[in-house]
Amino acid sequence: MKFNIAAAQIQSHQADPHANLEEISQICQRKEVTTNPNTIVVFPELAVTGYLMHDDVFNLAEEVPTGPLSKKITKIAETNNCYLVIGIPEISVPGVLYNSAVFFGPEGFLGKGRKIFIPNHSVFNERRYFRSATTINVIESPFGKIGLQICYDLFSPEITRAHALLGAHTSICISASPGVRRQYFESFLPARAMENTINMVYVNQSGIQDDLVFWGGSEVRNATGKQVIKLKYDEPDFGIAQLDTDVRTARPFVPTLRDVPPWIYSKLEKDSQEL
Amino acid sequence: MNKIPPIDAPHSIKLIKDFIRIRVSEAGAKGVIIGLSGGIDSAVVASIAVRALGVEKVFVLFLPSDTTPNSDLKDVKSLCSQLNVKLTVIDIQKLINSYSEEIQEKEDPSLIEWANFKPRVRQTVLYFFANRLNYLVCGAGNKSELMIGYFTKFGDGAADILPIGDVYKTNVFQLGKYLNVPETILAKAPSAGLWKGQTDEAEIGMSYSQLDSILYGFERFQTEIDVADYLQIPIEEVQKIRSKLYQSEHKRRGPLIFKLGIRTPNIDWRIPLIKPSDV
Repeated sequence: MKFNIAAAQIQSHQADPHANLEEISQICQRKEVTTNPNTIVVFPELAVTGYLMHDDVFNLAEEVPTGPLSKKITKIAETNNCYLVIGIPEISVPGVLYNSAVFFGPEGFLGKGRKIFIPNHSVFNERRYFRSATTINVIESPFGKIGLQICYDLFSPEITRAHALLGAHTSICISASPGVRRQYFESFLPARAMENTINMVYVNQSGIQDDLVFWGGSEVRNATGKQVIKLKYDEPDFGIAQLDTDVRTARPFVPTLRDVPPWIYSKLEKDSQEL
Repeated sequence: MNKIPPIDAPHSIKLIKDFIRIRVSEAGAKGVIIGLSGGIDSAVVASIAVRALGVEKVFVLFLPSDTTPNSDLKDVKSLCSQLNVKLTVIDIQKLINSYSEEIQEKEDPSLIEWANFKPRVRQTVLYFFANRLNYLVCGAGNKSELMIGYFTKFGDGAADILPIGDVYKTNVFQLGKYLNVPETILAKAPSAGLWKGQTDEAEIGMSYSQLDSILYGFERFQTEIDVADYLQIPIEEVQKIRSKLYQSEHKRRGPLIFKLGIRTPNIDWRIPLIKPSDV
């Protein structure tokens, strides 16, 4: 089954969900989206609130999917008959926040993935706000199983591998990556696609927030690692890529999932506990 | 109106004294220089600094201009007499006049550029003597002013240390009473003295008591509605302060440095303020 990924590389307004939702709505009204019902519009990490909202996150985070922002996004999906994957700060119980990627469709909320690797180095201060997810999951969508990951999660090959092992044909990574990290993401993305024979989608924030520039450069790779689209660096951009849910043709050539010995993971678990 | 809670004055003063002593020592400085205005903030800071370092290490100046009320000098003298510190008075009006003449612009205290010019001249004078003496410039900004940007960027906001920068104005009065600051200073309406008849509360548009209560609500992550409900005041009053809070964030940060490198000053190139012994 063919489906479309619309990479919406926006420059989010900081701590201004109303302005962001307006822009998100405008993008979902684009003809390329509304004329093809098999389209998932992918927005960056924390696209609803802006990445650098600092302590305002405590007031902006909401329960997903019952919060007011989630309801508005659901309405956007319903109105434009499209699917969205989008980043939003989520609150589970008071005081416990997650940096989440949420999947909405015309039929409503489809699922969410919470960020596992919470960066607190270099310019990142996320552990001040967010708890690490306690599980890895994939979303059952009308397009089959899709995994969601967020930015720094891509630095750890285990996440994408888990998505593939859980049956996902596509792993979507939403991101808010500043410029000095570009070479990492541009190396990891094709690697994750090839080593797992899985479609990879990467959508980054773009433009300046405070003292950081988000480098954009969103791209989509198919299950053989081939680049399908590449968006502009540093500024907002939009592009559509067609992907196939059927990744069977890639797998006999690179049968890593068949060949992975399970004992490796139990060994890793043990070794990582002894660090 | 629910006021912000009182602070533990003796304990807070002890901590501020330690802070001043340690910062002076670690900077390798010999003392602190403080511009006295005749108001409560600089009076409290000077009183604590004298207790922390002793009178011989605290250099105080009064830097009046044409818009400075005469009563301020009297109050400053009264404070210095109480603290037993030597006062230096330098009239900055001549500096302002010279500048006005050189740039061929007539001074108009009602204009923001001229209102801000005075604190910047004052800070230039303070830093002149700070460099000469190897002293730190000790600012007198309080938390209420800082959080709504009620100060001049690179003027009174320019200092090496701000010992009461985390103390709301309401609590500054409390410290002032505890420190026995002269009654005339405690009783007068707070004013930046940038033009004749100016008072802070008239310019801010509300009492410090209300301002501090609103800020205290925001500090505790309350929303605008929470704060308005709790304080039983119109939400517009709360929104006005939230607006000031955001509009002034640039004044509380150093100049923004745009990240291009691996580690960037003020962002993620962080080193201790204390110089290691091998450096």
